[in-house]
Amino acid sequence: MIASQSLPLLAFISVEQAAFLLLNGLALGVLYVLIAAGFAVIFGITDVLNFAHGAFYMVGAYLTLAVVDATGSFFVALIVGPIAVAGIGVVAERLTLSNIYDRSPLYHVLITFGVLLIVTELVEIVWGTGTQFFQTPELLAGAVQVGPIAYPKYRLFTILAGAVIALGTWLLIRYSRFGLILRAGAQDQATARLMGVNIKKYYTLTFALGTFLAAIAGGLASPFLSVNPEMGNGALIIAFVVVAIGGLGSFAGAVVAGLLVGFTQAAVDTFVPALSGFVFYILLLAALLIKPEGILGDYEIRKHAAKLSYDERIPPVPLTDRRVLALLGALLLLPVVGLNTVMSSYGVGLVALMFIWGILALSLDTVTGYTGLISFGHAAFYGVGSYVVALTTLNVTNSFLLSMGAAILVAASIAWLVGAISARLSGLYFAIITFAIGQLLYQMSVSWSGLTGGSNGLSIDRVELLGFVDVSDTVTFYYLALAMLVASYYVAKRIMDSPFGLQLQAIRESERRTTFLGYNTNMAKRRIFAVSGALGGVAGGLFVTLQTFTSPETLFWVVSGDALFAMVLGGVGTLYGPIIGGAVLIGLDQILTIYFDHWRMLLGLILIVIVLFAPRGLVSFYAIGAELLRGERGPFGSAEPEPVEERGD
Amino acid sequence: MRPSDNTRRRTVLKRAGGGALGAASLSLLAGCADDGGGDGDGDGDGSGNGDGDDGDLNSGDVGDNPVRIGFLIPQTGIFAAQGEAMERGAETTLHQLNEEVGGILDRDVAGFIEDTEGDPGQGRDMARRHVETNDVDVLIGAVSGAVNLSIADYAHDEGVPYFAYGGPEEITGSECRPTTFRYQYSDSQIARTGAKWALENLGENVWIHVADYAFGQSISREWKKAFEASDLEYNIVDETQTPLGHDDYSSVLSQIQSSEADWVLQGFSGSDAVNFLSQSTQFGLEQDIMSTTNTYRPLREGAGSSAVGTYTTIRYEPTYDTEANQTLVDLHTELHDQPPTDFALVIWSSLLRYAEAAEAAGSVETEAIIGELEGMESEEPMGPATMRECDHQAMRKGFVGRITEPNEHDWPGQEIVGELGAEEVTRPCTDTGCEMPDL
Repeated sequence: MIASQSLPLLAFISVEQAAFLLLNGLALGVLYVLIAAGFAVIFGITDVLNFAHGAFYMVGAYLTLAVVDATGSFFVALIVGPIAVAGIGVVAERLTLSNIYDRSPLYHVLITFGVLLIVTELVEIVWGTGTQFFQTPELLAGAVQVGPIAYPKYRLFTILAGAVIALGTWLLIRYSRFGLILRAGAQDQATARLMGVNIKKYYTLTFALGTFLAAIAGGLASPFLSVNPEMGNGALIIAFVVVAIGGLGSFAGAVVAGLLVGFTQAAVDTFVPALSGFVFYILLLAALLIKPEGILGDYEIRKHAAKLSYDERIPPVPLTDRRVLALLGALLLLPVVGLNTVMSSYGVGLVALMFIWGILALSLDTVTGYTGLISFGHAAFYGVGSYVVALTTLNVTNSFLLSMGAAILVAASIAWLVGAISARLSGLYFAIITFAIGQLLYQMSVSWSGLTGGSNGLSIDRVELLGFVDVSDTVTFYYLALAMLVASYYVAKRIMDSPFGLQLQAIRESERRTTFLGYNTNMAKRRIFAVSGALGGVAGGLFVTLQTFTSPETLFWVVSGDALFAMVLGGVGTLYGPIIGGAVLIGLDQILTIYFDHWRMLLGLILIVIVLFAPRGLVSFYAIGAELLRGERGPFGSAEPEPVEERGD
Repeated sequence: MRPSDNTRRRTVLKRAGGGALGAASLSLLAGCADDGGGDGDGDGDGSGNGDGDDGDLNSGDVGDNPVRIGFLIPQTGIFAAQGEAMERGAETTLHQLNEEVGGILDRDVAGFIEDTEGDPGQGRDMARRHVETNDVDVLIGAVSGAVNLSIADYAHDEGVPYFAYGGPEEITGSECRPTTFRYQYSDSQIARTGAKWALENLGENVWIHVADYAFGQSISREWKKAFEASDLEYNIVDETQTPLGHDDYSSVLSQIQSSEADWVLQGFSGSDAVNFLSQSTQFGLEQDIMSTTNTYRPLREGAGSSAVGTYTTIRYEPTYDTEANQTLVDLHTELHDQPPTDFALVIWSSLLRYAEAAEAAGSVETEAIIGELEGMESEEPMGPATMRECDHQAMRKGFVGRITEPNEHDWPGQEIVGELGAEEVTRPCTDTGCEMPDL
């Protein structure tokens, strides 16, 4: 039967090709399963999207390499290295996540992003940025005859080892007492606690298991994928995609999806190599459109896991507030008074860059802070805005008004589409799909070099406001960016004060109740996403005007992470807080780079501290300070948001 | 730690945050010229781990009126590792000019560094800073092709000589400028060297596999032209591409394995190349591998034994036996405790010839310098070179090498297996597309 079924296939390809395809797909698939397994385990039990997963995968590779160097045995290293990484994972979890499991996933995403920054920089400090050579173990070097073809022994070993590890993990979760408690905790924390289970301890053990799996995947991959600090990025994307396709929280789903993605990748590499960089994203989008809960996703996101809620509303400051007017006055005078006395034109450009990041963080706040949708793909709108302005300037007109209009239109349309595809997905799916779309656009900007200039990027000469005002001039640009920032803030505040804005905040608090009240919440989400995308496009368009250059870097997911960071740093859900956060982030970047090579590590540290101790960001300092002065609260009053899980819907 | 980057940022910040302005403070940029002392200690550790206070490139006291050289170096960003090698070359060359040659026109030579970040916009900005605030007489450097092109354009606008490092054809082709000179090989010289040698020695059936971005596409284009120009029989069995940053090559390797190709042209660098090489070793690939990048040391360090036995065009080899090379190797090793690289070579050749031109012209005035450089013949570390008048491209011999087992160092070595004449590897003036604009 099997032979006759495969006959039509064999009409197109030879037996050798078919054998290669089978083994290549299997080896890749097993590797993907392994990479995703740890991520799936952690998410399935604790509801945490662990952005540091790729970093632990990378550390696994480095520590395995270190143990190989010390002991000379690859097989010893493959066990000892990952155990050490699991130890690091436990420490990281205890210091960070273990304190905030009951918070919104926004904070989980951010705190693990902070861990990622720190771990990556530590690796660069210890091992440098170069690629390390990882010798294939003697025993597994070279190829061996498998049926009609010679196939690398190491890949066969990967298939075998991966299958054993995946099976072992499954058995552990399915049949051991440890697994039983984990599953109990995942289903109902409160009941598990009532049964006398120390659930926090089990969360820590889950994290250890997840990082162990990440590290062993890294160790296994090292002999054929190179070992360098960047390797974690790819692994994180794989984990995201595989887990989302398989169904969030489903271990079996991750196995099926990993194999599916592996075989598809191998087939596409062979038959349609031009699409090879897009396989992940196309599969992911297809899965989310056809079966949004994933292949084996019987899992329902627990309500609290998708919510962002504050016990304290910090209203946006009106533009007519005296403090705002004073600040605006100072900013208006800054270049006039400051240029050539206290600052260079470089300094003026730097302040203008702060305005740009203010707009980007503000745009994110409208969907995340106000509507409660966690977007991890705002780089998409930022990058699209910058490319549209660059391309319009190069090919059509150098009028700033027209190119910026085009940027707003395109970014808003893409955002509306993203909203339309993903609005029915809640919470974490939303983070994943926005992430995937951002990366898809990034990949396109690299590959489609005829249009985008590929990795070389695009340079533009100058942009004019009305045919005569040169906005590439730094001081002119400064005022333009300031005006756009004020206008963006005004628009955002008007929206949030309107009935529509209240509806958005109602969605954030409880989408179900809002629906019961007769509102079309999906429509509202699409609309606010379009508005937010337009603002993100404004920021990107301004960026390319300032730099006269754009590149795929503007679309890379790290930009999305930085935007989230800026938003939370300043104060999520306040509109003006994120603007402050964006400005402070740019300032920190400039100051820290002077004194520290590894300044991103400090950023990670600041991020973790903010998430742990000041979840409403810098603006809460002001509010707390004011209240302290009036004696209205104790020093540790209500800055911590109350746990949101207990509110029954 | 990248010292001069620190200096740059710090200076900028001083200016933004209340420092005085004007010519006096501007000379602080990128390490000031009269802050003697410098790194004349000769013990540069090479790994860039010096402490942060020293952005000074100058090896001793420079006089009141030095000749000022503006280095454009990617100190941060994806080319940072190459930038470090370039910086070592810059220090070595300045040392040679000041201590051995005796300066230029009896004036000391002062170097300034600005960070291009590997970004064309930033590169152009930094070239402007060199010209406007550092008041340099000549520009040199930049790794990425796009950055080279944007600087070349600016240098012509300002009438300042510029020595390019990047490989793109346009630099001495359709985008040629009277102010631009290139001692580095052009991409077509590299392609003509490798293509002819490989067709003669590895076979006529070639499989082209490149990474799908500017660099890979340029390799594919230039090598196909070079196959045609070689007048030899050739057959492109297939041409495949993978995206930049692709990590699994099993599909393409199994296709190559079962094809009739004699050799593979590997058109990518960095970790892509490392993955490709280690996986092809695991597959036991029977075909030979030919590349333009395996000569780079970081790549040999990353790929280790899996690079051994592959072929590569060679840009520089420290053991190549010429008098000029011995001088370069001795000084570079003395200052940095490691052999020079191609980055050092190109800066060395460019600036020593610039000095020679200035001496001959009796001035550093741009037009006079151009007049002297055009047609200049010299003995360089890798053999004789001629700076061609028609496109300002140096004509040099081309080299092909084979990667060998490590002997002297931890990383694999390389041996030269083929040498082609300068005429043979350089395209004729009529094919360059260069119509030299006026100064």
